[in-house]
Amino acid sequence: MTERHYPWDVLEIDETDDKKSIKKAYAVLIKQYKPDEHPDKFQEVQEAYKYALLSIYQLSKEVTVFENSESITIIDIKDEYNVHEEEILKKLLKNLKEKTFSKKKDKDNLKNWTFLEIYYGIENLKFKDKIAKIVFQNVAGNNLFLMKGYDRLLINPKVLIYMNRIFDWTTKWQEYGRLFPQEYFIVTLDYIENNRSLDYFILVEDFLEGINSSIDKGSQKIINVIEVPTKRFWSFVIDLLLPLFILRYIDYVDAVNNHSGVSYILIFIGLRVVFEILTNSHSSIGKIILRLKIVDKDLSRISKKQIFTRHIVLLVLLTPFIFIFKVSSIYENTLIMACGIVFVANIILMFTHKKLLHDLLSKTHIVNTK
Amino acid sequence: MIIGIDLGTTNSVCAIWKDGKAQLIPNRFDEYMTPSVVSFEKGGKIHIGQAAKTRAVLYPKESVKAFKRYMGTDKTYKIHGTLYTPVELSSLIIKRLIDDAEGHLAEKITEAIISVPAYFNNIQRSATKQAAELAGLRVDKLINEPTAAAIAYGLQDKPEYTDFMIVDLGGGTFDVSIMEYFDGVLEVKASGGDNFLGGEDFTQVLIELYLTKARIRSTQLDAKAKQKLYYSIEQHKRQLSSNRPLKIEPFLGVKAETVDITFDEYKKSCEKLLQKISKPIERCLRDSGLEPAEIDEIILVGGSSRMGFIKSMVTRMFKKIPRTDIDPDLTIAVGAAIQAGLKAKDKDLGDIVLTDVSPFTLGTGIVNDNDVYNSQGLLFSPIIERNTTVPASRVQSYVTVRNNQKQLEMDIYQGESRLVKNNIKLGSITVNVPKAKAGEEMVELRFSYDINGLLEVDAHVPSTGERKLVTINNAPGELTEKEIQASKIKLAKLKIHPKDDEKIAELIMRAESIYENSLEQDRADITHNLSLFEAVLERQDPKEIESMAKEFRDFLAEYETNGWFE
Repeated sequence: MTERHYPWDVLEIDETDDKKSIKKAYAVLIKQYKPDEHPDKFQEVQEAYKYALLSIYQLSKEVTVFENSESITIIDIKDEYNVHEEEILKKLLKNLKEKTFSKKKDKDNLKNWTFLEIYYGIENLKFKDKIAKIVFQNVAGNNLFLMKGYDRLLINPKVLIYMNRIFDWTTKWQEYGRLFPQEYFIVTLDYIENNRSLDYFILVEDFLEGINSSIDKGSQKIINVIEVPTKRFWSFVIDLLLPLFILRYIDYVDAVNNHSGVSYILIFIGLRVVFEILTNSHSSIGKIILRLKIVDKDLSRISKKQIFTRHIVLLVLLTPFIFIFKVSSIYENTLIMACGIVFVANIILMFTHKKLLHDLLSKTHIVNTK
Repeated sequence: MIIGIDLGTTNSVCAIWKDGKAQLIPNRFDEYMTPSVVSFEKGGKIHIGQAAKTRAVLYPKESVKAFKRYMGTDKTYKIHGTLYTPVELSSLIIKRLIDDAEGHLAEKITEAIISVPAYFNNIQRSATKQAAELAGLRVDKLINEPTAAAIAYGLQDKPEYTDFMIVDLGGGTFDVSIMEYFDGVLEVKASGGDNFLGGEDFTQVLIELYLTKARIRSTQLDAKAKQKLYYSIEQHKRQLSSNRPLKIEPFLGVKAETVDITFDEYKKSCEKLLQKISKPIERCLRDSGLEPAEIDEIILVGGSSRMGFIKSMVTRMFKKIPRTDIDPDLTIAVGAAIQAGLKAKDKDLGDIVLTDVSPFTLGTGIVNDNDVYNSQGLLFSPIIERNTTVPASRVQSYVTVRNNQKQLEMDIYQGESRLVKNNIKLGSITVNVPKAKAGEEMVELRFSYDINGLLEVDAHVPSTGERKLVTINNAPGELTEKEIQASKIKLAKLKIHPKDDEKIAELIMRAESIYENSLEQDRADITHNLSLFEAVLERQDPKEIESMAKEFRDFLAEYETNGWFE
């Protein structure tokens, strides 16, 4: 047997371009040489069969073989796609370019890349493959350029992982390896592969967001309506009056003497700290009386870290008040001015955001308990 | 007798080839599906199947389910101070199926064909075989689930040259296969899937959706409440359809509002999962070199494929309506039984030859020259690419990387990642080479993968003629002979309920769990009926017990259909 007759001699038929007769010959042979009984002969027949099919496939379809060339202009838009698809591709490329060269803050935000999800809606599989390749080529090319010049990535791993979830590059590397230079994979796939655990977290984030976005917007509004500025004001008044009563009971004389201001402020701060830390709702007495509650952005209990931030901010804001009641000096006047500025800032915040500085900084909300 | 077993993540089924056709075997509860759940009582008594599933609602900490997901891993379950591996738990399920089948057929069963997801790797496959061995069964051949499904859909009746695709969405796994049938040959062209995607993920989405809408944080719930939540939502999932939105009253004992969930909301929440599902389908099409239009028939298998939007997604993708005429829960067991018939060379089946593919890539690690920071490790060099028809034998040459290198140590990996560290290491092979300049000494590495998933690696040094052979069958995580004996002794200690006892125990447990979730007026009713039933039990008249059990079962069934846990 000579090489020339392969695979026809193995298949025991004459050369043909008829798929059915190849299959028929193959079927006859492998019934004789079953894979579990004659593994070696089976493999020989199987390979010949694949070879024969490939040869007629190449005749009929004229497979385009991509060359592994240095200039990467392998992929261009061909007229085999309809106008609609061409438009999708153009728009996608324009968006991709825009986002790739946007500010770092925008570029790192996954929400700005959701335009890529148009990929899911495309039905033509070949077109999908092409898009996946083009995006890969762009992203890898840009990343490589910056890596060579500045030793950093243009598109960070988190975004790469997100893109990979859409385009599935990590399962196509064997095919892509024949199209693109090795360096392309180092600045893309290797970062994705090295951060598989991150992939999981993004997935969970994404997943929960998917659920939240499917819920009617009604629930989102609640947080805005329940900020209660008037009630807060009255609760603040209660909190302000309370130390006065306490002072009266402790020492009436002291209440009229010079130091009472300092003690007043100390008792005021002390009460707040003790109540906000110890009570279940983390509220001061005034808030408890008026049934107000401090909560997290999703209406749950606030964390220890948030309590801490609130009080640090509060203490920093209130300490200067101690000095109002003491002798004033230029130094202390500055403090009082600072204090006044914060006070004014708080009033402005109350009107614009319906909340105070320490709420903003600790990301907490005050809501009605009912 | 050889039987076919579908060892599923949520349910297991067995069937047999008899009188020229596949016949499903009912279990002791007269049902075809045996839940893959095991529950342990203190003192060594165990419940398997339906009884365990019912018991799991009452005692979630003492019950294990979905352990198929961890086959071939080091995971163990600690219950009442004893550790159980997924292999041991699976063996209990297999043992139960065999016991019930032997009772039903009045024949001894010695051999089985067990189905596994096409996506299962070598380690998971041998773990499955180990489980069968522990149950006292001989298993020569595992069958890929999609192959079984294709067989179940009667290839004999198909026109020749049909390309079809099997989409199998089970409780915990997702499998896709593309096959062609011609001239009595069933050729698998490509298979793939996702080992961590299944109907349970869709239940999970509904649970998250419910919790978010009801403003319940999962940290507020204890294990028992979570179990209750799971079963209840699972029931709701089945009822959810486009014309009937769900209305869920608070049922968890924590403060919550009544929640309405519409079909559209749920569908939108599942979007990410549906995107995930489309990936393996596209991958398979790409690997097989076919276009969606070239697929002649799509078959949906697995209980979760009943969900409407799976069917509509497939229809949209292929512009063809998929077939679901065999009960998707039982299809694979039917196929496995037909295969068992084929194995026993039963002439009824005609002469069909099956050719399968390797569902994953096998290869070795090579030095990465471009890895300047040395952070990536070795690169994966495939030798047998995924979806190569098996048995397959492929050879690749590798050269030394350093001057005067004395040895070449080559690791054997399975997986699809470009970096070997993300693939599964199956073993390694070391050969000596004569001293020479880097790149001048060569080793030919031949991988031979057989139809049973056995991998032989042969390393040959042409310059010295040295040859070394490694057979990968003692994969990590697999049990040794000694460990098998130890497991057998451990499992033998467990007391399994006698058949009739278990039926009654299951009924009583079911009554208890319905009682727990019922309102005041129903509770009295249930208690009354339960005490009647217990009175009959005390008289120990088997006939009376049987008729009363049936009555009691019907009574309980009414509560369940009226909306269990609603």
